[in-house]
Amino acid sequence: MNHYVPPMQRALMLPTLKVLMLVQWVVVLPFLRYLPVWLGGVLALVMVWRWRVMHGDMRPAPLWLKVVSVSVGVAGLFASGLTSYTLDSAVALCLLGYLLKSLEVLRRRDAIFQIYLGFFLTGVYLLYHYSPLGALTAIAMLLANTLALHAVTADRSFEWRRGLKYSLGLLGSAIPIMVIGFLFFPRLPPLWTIPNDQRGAKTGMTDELTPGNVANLARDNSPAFRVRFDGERPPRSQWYWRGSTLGAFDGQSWRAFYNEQNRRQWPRGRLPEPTGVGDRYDYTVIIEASQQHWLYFLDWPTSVQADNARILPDGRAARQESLNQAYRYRASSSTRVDWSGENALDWYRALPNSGNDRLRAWARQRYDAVGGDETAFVDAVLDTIRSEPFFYTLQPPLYQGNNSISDFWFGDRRGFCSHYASALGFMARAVGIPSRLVGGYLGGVYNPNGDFVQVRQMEAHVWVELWLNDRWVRVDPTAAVAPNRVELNLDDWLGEENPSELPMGSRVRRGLSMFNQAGLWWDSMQYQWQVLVLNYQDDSAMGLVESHLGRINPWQAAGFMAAFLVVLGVIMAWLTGLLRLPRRLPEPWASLRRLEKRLGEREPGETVRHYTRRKAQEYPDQAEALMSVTTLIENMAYNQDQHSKKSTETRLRHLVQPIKKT
Amino acid sequence: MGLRRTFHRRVEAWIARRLPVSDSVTLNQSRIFILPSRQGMVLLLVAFVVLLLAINFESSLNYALGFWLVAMIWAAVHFTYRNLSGLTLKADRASLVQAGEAAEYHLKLDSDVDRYRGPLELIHDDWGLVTAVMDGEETDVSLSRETDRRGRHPLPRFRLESRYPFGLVVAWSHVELDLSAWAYPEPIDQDAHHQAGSDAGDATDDHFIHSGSEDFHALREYQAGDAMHRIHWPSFARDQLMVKAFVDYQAADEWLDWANYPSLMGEQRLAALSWQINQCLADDRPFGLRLPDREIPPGKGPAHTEQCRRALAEFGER
Repeated sequence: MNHYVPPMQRALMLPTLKVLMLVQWVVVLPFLRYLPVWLGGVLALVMVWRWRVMHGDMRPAPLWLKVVSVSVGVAGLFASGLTSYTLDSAVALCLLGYLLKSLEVLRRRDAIFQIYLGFFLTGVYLLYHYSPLGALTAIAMLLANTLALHAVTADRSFEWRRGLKYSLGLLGSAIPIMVIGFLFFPRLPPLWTIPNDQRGAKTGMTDELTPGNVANLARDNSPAFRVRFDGERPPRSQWYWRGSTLGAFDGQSWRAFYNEQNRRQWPRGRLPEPTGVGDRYDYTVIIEASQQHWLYFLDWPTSVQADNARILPDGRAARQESLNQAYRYRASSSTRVDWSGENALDWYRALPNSGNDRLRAWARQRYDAVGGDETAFVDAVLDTIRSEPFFYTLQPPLYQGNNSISDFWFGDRRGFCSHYASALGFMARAVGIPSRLVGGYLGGVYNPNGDFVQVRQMEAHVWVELWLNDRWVRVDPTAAVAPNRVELNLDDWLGEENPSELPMGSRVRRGLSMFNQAGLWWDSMQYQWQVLVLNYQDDSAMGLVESHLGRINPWQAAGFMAAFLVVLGVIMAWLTGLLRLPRRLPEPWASLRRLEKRLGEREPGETVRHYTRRKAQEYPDQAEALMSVTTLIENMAYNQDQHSKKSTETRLRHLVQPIKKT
Repeated sequence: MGLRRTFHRRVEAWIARRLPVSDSVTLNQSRIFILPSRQGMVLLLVAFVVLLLAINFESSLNYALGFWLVAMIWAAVHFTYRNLSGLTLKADRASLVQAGEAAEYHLKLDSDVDRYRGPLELIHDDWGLVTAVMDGEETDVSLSRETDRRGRHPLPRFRLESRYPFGLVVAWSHVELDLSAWAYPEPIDQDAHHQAGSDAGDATDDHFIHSGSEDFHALREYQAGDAMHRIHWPSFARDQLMVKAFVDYQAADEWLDWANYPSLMGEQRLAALSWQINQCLADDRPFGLRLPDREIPPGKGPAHTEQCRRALAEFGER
């Protein structure tokens, strides 16, 4: 006697096991480049085991194998440096579990577990990738797991074609509710935080400047942020996007006063914002996830509208949470601002007691030579850069130690923006002028398709701000060594001056204008994606609805929701063949039916001719019309003459039209 | 415990009222029950966790994924419901078996639309699980079930279930069809001395009772339709068209009679009669059956045997 085995306990069939193995690959592949190499070994082990199971060895893995593989796996995780409680290590652990779980996938329950973990991992994947391509990958993962779910349920009757049809059908018909949920579900603030600093690397300018990191950015042409101006764009030479202000110098590197480490001590409350006195620009910025706190502004910011953002006294704005999603904010800038709030100038004069002594002496000497005039001193330094053989290059020699700036200035004289800015900032302090470095971006590509300016990582730039005549003045020493760099983007500039330093990708792209066009189009699409999807706020849909229908209370909202579900359910029922709409009667039966409605029913078994004859007696003045209708109906019913069908039908309708009870 | 049993009985009674017995059942919205399966509930949990990801990491696309998973369960309801909707189960036939053997019930699954319905599961404690894959408009299912005693064995109310295509929801119905299998008594050899009133001398007298095909009996005149091979060719030579007539011989008084076993109780008598039938079959003898309320004239052949056995099975049950 066969006993009932609950579905979850049933053993898996061979076709199902094949699908599960394939789906496991589909889920793991997108993560592959983030995984430590040794996890590949685990993958191989799992594949071998699956192979055995598929070829008839339906035994659970022995205990020792499980224990060994789990402990080796966890030890490997530690060895790879994923020790702290962060998202990355959680994901790695999750993937390890996902792979090892298949050592014991024999029954339906195990398979379901694997598939649901796959759904979850799809969500995890979306934390790292939110571009349109990432979304497509996630959809592929979702589809694969749905297919596996079908294969598990269909058991031995599984077929690829039917499975795909069902899975696509299920995902497709779920889209409307998904969209509604996405549009109307309130966006809640995070419930708790998992440190996720390693989610992707930090990108963009950091709050510490060591000469190497800007050069690395110069090889990266991924976008940093995109800006859309409300009105006119400022002139190209003014596209200085400031991010972090680096005011503390320790002899080797520049740091921000307010940084990640002392986040708790940042000033609180509403801080005075500089008042703009020059031309004003309003714009919207969408910044890519940088894992940092800094928001970017056109020089100089006057106001910012962003959640949890604050303006720090050193002329920048920061967000409390790090930016782990593309983030949108509005801001205004002015070409000139009033800095009357500045009161910490002494901070900006501080220098270590020793180091770079030769440069100090040289600066003092120049300062004395111009008679202590600060502006003249700066001009003299810039003149030196212009006239002496200084070179702008992305591959400078390494300047190290306490005399690195001095070595640069008197030695090789080859460097890029951060070297020149660092040197100028140092010299200004050496003669008592308050100075600070500003890390940000210079330039950007205007995209006419989407009407926005795209700023890429390679536009990273460092310049100097000096306190001259009671205000901060931007001085860019790079303009002295490479005047065109201010007007041109880095890749264009390098393309003209020194193509061999260009990153490979842009070298190819510059050669083909078609690529450029496609690139612009793709950028503009990503911009739309960010505006519409990534940065979607739940109040937009609600706002749209309320602007048409007035204020909506929760009851009405629930009512709308229910009505929507009912309509959707009916459509769904019709699509799945549960509900069949009544068909229209074909002619001549439709006309006959109309006639019967007006004149009275036909009796059972009565022919059309008998019926019309009877009615003709009842309503003698309709007799003639009735007779011609009868002839037509009989002709149509018994002569299957196809070619004049349409016109005959029209004639019949015309004939029936005027007949009524008299 | 008592409360639970009362509740159970109430539910049973409600189902019985709601789903009355007939020999054909068409499943529609008043008969199909549908709920998310446990697997579906767990998926809901997964969707919730994905939404947590969305909230905690401000990951916009995870909101979409979370709701997509929830909506999948909703959509799966339609997919699964349509597996059962419009399905007609018809009682076809049920077998006659010896008590203690497994009876077979044959059902026809019928549908007005040509739709793939995936594996349908017919579940009952007595047979465990029978799966029918319905691809097209008609399919046959046979259910087998042990019989424990003589008599009528109605097809019990069973559960028809479908989780196809994703297992996220389970649609089911309780089906009760008016279809019964019959079990004739298990043959038991009762001692001969229990027999009384049987006339041994008469038993071996053979006489033919009706025309048949076994033994040559006489010649008769040809009638249109007689088979060619029965023509008596020597007579044809004398210009007479004669055919050979045959008869079947049958024991005249091979009556298996209820009254033959006065010392036995009812069921035992039936068991004895059943044994007698087997004896007659083994010896290839014709027999008749006489029960208090029924009499089957002597005869032989599978149809006759079945008729007699069925009479034993039905005795006292109609």
